[in-house]
Amino acid sequence: MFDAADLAVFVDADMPGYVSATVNGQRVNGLFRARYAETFGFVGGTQPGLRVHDSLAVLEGDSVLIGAAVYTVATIEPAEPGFNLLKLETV
Amino acid sequence: MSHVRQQIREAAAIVLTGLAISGSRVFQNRLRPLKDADLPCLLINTDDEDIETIGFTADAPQERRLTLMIRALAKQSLTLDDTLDNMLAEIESALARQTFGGLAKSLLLEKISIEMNDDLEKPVGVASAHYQLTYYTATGNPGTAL
Repeated sequence: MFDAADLAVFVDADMPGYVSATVNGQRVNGLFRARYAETFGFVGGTQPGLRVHDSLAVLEGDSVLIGAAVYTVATIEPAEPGFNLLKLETV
Repeated sequence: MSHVRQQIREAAAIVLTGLAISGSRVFQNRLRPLKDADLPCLLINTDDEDIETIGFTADAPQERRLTLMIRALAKQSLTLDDTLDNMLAEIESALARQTFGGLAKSLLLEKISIEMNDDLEKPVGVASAHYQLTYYTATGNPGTAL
């Protein structure tokens, strides 16, 4: 079983994509990605997602602030052991 | 001399340019991905065509039934379905009784299909209006509508 200290290794300021985000008012460390993607074969955009510890209390529709960008949590998906992926939608 | 298919596609683009929601964002046979600045928009494609030759002479008339596809695309968080329906209303009104300057003998809306997807940073929706357009040419002369 991973404890908080184990998981903290994966969410470290040296990791690519590391952010200190605000999720529904809580300060949270996570890994943020917003890679380019296309849908329907002809509409381009990004797929923003934030990996956070699965102990974080978060619900779909919660607000997420990363830097100056504001998102809402669209879906919460299980990711690697100990983590959830918050799929984000721009506001 | 361009094929009547192209003439129809270009005429449809002219008729559909300037609608309230899509404005000047009207694209013909676009292949490159659309960016946010391109949306909401209309895509115009001339797709499959059934052809029936009437008679056996060298220049026998051909009845051509072309699928003219108009796709309305929008990307937004709220009321995406309302926007797509409003875009369809604008398309249907603009194309009602259209002959595209006499190129078409009839233009019938046969089907509407809706797709939505939330893979990107905002939901994306496509409303496709499938029109069957009938036009006539002489065999060997596809650039002139009869």
